[in-house]
Amino acid sequence: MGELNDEDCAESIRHFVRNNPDVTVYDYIHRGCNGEVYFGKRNKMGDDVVLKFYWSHPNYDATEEAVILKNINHSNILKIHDLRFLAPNYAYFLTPKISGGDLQGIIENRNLSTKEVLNIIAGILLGLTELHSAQKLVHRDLKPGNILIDLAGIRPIIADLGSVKKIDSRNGYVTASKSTILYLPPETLVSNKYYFQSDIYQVGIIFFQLLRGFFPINEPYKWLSKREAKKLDLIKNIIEKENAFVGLIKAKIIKGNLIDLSTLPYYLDSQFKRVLHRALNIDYEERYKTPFLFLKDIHQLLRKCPDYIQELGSLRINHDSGKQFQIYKNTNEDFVVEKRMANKAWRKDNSHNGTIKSILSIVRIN
Amino acid sequence: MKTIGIQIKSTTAILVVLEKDTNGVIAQTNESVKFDIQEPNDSKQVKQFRDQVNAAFDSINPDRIGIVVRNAKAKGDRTPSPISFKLEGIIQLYDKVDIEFIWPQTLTAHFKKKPQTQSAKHKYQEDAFNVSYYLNIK
Repeated sequence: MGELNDEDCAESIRHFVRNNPDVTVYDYIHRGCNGEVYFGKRNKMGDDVVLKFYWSHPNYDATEEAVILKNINHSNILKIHDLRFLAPNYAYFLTPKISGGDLQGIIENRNLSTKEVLNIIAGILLGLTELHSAQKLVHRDLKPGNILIDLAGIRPIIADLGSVKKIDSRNGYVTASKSTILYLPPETLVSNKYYFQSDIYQVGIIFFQLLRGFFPINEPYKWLSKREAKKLDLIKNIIEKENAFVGLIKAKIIKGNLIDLSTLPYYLDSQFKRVLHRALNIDYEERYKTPFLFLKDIHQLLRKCPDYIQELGSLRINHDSGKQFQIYKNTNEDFVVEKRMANKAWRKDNSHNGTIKSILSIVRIN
Repeated sequence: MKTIGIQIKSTTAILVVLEKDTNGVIAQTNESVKFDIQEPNDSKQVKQFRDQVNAAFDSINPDRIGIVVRNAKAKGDRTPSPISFKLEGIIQLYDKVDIEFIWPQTLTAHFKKKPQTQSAKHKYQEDAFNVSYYLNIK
């Protein structure tokens, strides 16, 4: 075992990973509130695995969820090899290591095409169907950082199942988890109730983020208006300032103002907004009732809309028929549209009147 | 008791979900839905149809699922679309609940003896509704 540089990690965890006879750990990542993550190799099986440690309340009995999770075998849900408790107040999951890392890492490094986005959302919804229907579980912490991507086929895998909880069939809800505030659905802030449709809301946010709507996760102060930022600047105490900021964000979530659909890229077809509007409705009862109804609309988008890829300085539009368009601005800042059929050279298309509306009406036609 | 009745019309599968409560009252749920394939030779669309149907069945978690049988030998206006057999085959591959085939004549005979008092929310759901209702009380 090399140097792990995990000095900041709890002593009980450090001791455990160094004395585990089944797994030899070789790497460590500190994920802050998201837990402590170790990578290792199972000594008998020879495969790469991940050990993820969470804080767990000593009295919290997650036996039922643990047993259910261990028995889930679905291509869009991370396989759990084992889940155990580690005294005094930790729990850990032992899972396979997935090739592509998490979705947050992917969206920070490259633009996904709209069809890639739609296929990722479709895969997440298939995984969610398994959790919701057969198991009556809600995830409660869906966000790009908790979706792993298997690079073979860009398959999304729902991971980080530490917040999963079984829905009480009498009430139809459970309490919300203490997950990232930006992803908390309005009903959890108003009444601390988390429904199946609350997971739908979180998938809606992932969808919005992947499509490049305004979601400054690394600079959340950008969500504030000038007036709000000025007001916040007047608070000198750091803790008070943080609390005031959280209060402002919560108010935006409750009013449905955190997600602004008008910030989506100009080229997206209006159907995208309709689907997002339904998934992100502030009233949970107005959202898609089940993942399969959401999935049906995602598949409709896949069928009806071309594939848009935003590249440096240009937008590429690919149709299933092989027809392609590209839009860019020339040195005079005028739009230029080029078209080509499969395996043919690019040719200018001047059938538009120079406005983006006219251009989009041309390039959307298959 | 929860049942799904399915009618396949051309390139569309119409699903009607009925649920009987503890008082024996049968009602149509808002999970009723229709799925289609626009390009039957497009493998992606065929797989999407499969995923939608399987996800719907998993989510609805029915006790019984039935499809209205279409007479493959019918001629003229009643000739079933070849695509409908593709949809039927995909639905049949679902392996958590057996897919039952119900002849229209069976439904007619049954409802002749015990007249149907309820109807589907929408006219186009009528045949799927009858299959679902039949499965729910039979």
